[in-house]
Amino acid sequence: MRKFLITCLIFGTLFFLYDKVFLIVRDYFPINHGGDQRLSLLLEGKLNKDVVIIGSSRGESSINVKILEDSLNIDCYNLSYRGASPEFQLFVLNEYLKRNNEPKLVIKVIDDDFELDKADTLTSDRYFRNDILTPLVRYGVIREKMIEKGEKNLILSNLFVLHQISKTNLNFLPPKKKSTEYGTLPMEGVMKKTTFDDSQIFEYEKELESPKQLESLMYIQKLCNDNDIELILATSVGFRNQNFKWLERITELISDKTFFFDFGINKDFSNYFDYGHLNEKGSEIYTNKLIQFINSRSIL
Amino acid sequence: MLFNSIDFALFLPIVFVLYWFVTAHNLKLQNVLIAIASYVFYGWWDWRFLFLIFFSTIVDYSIGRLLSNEENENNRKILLWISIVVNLGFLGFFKYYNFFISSFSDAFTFFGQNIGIRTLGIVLPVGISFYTFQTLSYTIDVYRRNLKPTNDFIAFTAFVSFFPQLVAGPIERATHLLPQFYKKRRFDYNLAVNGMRQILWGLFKKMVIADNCAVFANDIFNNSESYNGSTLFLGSVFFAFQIYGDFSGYSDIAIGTSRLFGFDLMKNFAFPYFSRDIAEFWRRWHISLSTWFRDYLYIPLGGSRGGVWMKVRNTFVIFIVSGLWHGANWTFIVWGFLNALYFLPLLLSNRNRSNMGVVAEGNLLPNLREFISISLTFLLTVLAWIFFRASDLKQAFQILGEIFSISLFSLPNAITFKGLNLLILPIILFFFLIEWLGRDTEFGLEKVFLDRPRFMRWGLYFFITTLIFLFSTQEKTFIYFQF
Repeated sequence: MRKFLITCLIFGTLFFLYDKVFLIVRDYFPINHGGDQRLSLLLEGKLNKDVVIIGSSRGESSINVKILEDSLNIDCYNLSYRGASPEFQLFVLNEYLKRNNEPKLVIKVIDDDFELDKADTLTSDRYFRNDILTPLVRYGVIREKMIEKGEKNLILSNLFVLHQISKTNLNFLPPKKKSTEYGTLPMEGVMKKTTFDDSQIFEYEKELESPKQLESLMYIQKLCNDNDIELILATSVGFRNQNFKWLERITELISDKTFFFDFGINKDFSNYFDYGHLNEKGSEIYTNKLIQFINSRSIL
Repeated sequence: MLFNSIDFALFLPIVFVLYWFVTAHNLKLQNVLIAIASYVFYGWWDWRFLFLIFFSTIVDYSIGRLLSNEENENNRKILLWISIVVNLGFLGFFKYYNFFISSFSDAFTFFGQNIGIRTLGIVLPVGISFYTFQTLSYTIDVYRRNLKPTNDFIAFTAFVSFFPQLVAGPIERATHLLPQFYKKRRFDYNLAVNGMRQILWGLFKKMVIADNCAVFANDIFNNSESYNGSTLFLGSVFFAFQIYGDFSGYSDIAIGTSRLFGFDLMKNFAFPYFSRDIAEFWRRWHISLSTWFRDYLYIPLGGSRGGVWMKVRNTFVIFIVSGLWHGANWTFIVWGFLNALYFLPLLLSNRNRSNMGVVAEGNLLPNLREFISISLTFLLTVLAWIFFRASDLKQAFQILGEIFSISLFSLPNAITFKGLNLLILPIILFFFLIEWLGRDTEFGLEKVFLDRPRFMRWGLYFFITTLIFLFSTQEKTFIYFQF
């Protein structure tokens, strides 16, 4: 028994020491961003923009930052992520505010009536864009978040570097560089012209809201309001009728200091990349209307 | 509690220390500790189902005692049937009630009658098929007078609930495991080190091979209508690796853990993908279940003693029941039936026991004939796994239809076949190599590098542990828990 315990102890100690070699992989290997370096730039405090956009893929596809920037003559940046829930958007905004100069304006693009739906894959309490965080474990805040989200274990993460990293950190190739000037820009392409059933009667049940996502949406407002940052909650547009019950609900949730921008609907298929997302042409229409809104209320 | 969880990583050393340092001097106390630890292990998942295990334990212990005092054969038979009905009754209710009700209802609907029977929202207790078969083996062996009934309730409780193999086997025979609870266990350094090695290999199989192959298999099977034949075929191959890594990995961890406590569990897998025919595959895959069915179903049905018809009938019964054991779905029944069909030519030509030894024994590589036999057997197995993995028969036939079409010769089109996901390919090769080198041993890693200096041996273990850390995804439950 004694021999067994000593062998285990020596093995464990040597493994513990060997594990620390992987600090090199964690801290010095090129980060595999998959071509998207926005979060790295944000965490390193290299953004410092006047207008920041947060949202999901609707946020990416609705607003053309280049047009916004040229018209308003200020620095704008799109920090929307595909499939990002309000909880993830809050995380992005929170970290942005901690590490970069405060923006003058935050535009949060709201999804359709599934924005807070706990049954929806994207907004279920278990879903979080951990895949975006995984390559960025060299940043302490990312490691903490992954533990909080149950992706990593607290004890193992504190003991072993190998537990913090994963296969995504083993990318020996230099990272793909993508233009980060505007964050993201809308998608190019036009969806196929098809008929779409508009006869659907929408309902909205508050009981189906995820408390976590609701809390995140409210906290995004509080964060901006408390820091005297102007906030616009902007509806997104999809190739279907709007759910007015959802619009009613969202207006209930808006604080006095928050602006609400409702684009309405657009039924021209040539403005769409697919049913749920505008293309470059559609985003131009959306962005111009948003600029009018900002100017008409003298938000900036 | 999952073997691949931090909970188990803390639980195991605590039980180990208590077992060897606090209770080592007293066998009864050691058995009490095993029973308590096993109930904690199971209760970690859902404590409400502990009563099922406890009830099974009491029923089979009592029936064993009654059988020991009963000489009248009719009464003995009644006692045996009580045990069978109670144990299979629980299994039937929790596992098969909804399946039979919905199949019954579907059959009536097919003939134009809607009988409107509702299914129930039943939660399947983890591992119920495993411990039910284990306790049944006790009663049957006592009834057959192959085993003396125990009068040690604690030892019997520990035997039924023994945590390393409680939820996913190996399904132990009472004749093999129960007597080990009566004997004083002594710590054996070599056995314990071997156990650790087997645990490491089991974790590698589960967390690296199975969970990473699952990324491909799940994507492809969940979106089977979007993929061409070659992609679906590759998805099925990945599933073959997934299920082998998952289930044999669990068995390795279970056997290794038992060794740390001085117990010997039966071998459950013997490198099944190196089999040269289907009969050999079934002697190497889930051995504890195959032999259970052989001893308690096939032989009582007449085995191969009768004529050709009886052999064929019994073979089909065994395979179909084995399919049904795996799950309450027609896909499992077809999977069993298909394996029986594969088996049939070997049975009829009396060649079902022609490949009994180690493949390519004494050689580094198989010869051409062995290579072709292994490849063909693997191919047949992969095609059968499609039924095992598919959500229903419709999907299984859709996948097979696509595989047996011209699209089998087009390039794979799954979105998961890219980037770092593909790192799993050289790792599968490494896994395959270790398994091949260790094919004449108990488990792949058992003897590899054993005759080399310690730094090389430990280097290999460090490498495997590194892969486990780097390639582990979130804790994932074992496939066989659902059975």
